Amino acid sequence: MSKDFNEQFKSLQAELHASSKRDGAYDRMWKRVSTAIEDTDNVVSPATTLDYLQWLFFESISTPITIGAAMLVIVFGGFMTTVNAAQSLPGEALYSVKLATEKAQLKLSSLEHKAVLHTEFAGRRLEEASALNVSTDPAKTAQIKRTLDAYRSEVTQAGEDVRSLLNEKSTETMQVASAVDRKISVLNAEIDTRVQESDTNTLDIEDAKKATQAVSSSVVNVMMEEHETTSSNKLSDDIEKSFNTKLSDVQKKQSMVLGRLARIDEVVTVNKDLHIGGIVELRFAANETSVLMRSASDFAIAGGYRAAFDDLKVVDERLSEIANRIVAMEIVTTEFFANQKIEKLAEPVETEGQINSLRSDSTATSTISQ
Amino acid sequence: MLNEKFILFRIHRFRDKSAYAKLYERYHKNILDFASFKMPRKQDAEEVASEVFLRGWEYATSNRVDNIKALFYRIARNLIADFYRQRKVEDSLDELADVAADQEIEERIDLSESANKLIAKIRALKGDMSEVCVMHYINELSVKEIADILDKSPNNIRVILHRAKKALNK
Repeated sequence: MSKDFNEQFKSLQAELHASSKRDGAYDRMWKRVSTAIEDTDNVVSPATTLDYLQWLFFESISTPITIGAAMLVIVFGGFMTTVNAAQSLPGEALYSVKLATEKAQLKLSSLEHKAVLHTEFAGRRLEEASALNVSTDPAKTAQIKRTLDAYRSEVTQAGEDVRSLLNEKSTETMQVASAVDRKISVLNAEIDTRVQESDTNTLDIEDAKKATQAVSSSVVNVMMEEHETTSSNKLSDDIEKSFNTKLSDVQKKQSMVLGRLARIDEVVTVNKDLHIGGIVELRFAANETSVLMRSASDFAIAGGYRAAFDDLKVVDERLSEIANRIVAMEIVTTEFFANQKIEKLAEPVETEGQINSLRSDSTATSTISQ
Repeated sequence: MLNEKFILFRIHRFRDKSAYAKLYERYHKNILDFASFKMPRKQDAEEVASEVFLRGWEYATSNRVDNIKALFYRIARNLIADFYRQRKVEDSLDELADVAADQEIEERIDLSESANKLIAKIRALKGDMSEVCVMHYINELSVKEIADILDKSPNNIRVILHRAKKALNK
């Protein structure tokens, strides 16, 4: 049966059909069916070309057009929603869409890309916190806190991803670590600006800053470990680039700190009633960080990047401490001018000289706050 | 296929009997063959096949149908199951087929000896094998078409066909 299997079936099929035809089975069946169908009402005219065209339109043209249009609406609508969601802030209706889009991006990304994405999302959280800070929403403090918590989580996750890359011996560890490190440096600088701008959530911002610095150290450690275990010119270039970026960051920070101290000193010199101590010590401490920066550069030139980064870390911490003390000085200065203004407003303004004096005070206040 | 869709449109929209006649012409042999393997007598098979087209008409004039071939086979399977249920056999269709195979089935004097032997072998196949075998080798349905009719995966059908072929070759 194996050889002519299909042939036997073909032959059987032919025999069955021939037999049914011979004994009139097909005719009997059709008679039964047609009689029953004829008994039903509604006899219609045979199909015309117009009928066919009408049907063809509904089946082949109208339905695909409808489906196409619906898909266009869905895709375009979805795109517009995503675009609008990208601008949304915590507490707004589309904010959950924004977070869902980010989650989807992370799900679809490789570990190498995830680490960088987390820093990007951390940047977004900082921008959101900043936007919330100027809003008039009474619940803004709680929202800023939640946003900064989310920032910390994103930054920490970026650090963990970089560490995972090292553990998995990924060939792109150094490249990713260096990209994350650059982003973290930017975030660090942004947080410093937020500290000066913010009037609420100062403790949350401090926590965010600490988390950023911790991740920065962790990423640098990863870079060091990778550099120490793998000797390659490319890795040395990456680490050198990273060191130079960090050095440039702390130099900028030092200039900023010295500039702010200079302005406070200027104001104190002009206003004899304003007593602020410690300016000279802070200026000295800020200048002193240059010694450590030079030492870090020397280590880097000699290839001792670990020691070089350690020095830069100390510099950064010292400058942050100085910056915090400067903030306290600026608050005292602002309060001083505010009190003076109130006192002068309480007195009747008599001469043009007094008005000019008030104007010059307000200019000094704005200079400090800048 | 487009032509068949147009026929179905005519039947559904205008209750067009001439359009239904075309469908009948296309499928009546297959349905009768299918029923012949399941029913004990030739007259029973004829009755079932006629009933399939009557019920098909009723359904197609009141509902939109995408796959009329699958509809005819499904109606046929249900009618065959009903036939055996009426004989007080309370079992599933697959088992009913086995029962049918075990029953006294008249030999077709109008067919050759080799044809009768092959029919007996096919009827003796267990479970879905007989049904799938008829659909594929006699009715010349594709694996996908059988899978659609029986609500099984194409792979499942291929396995059944393989077993059926093995059993028939013994």
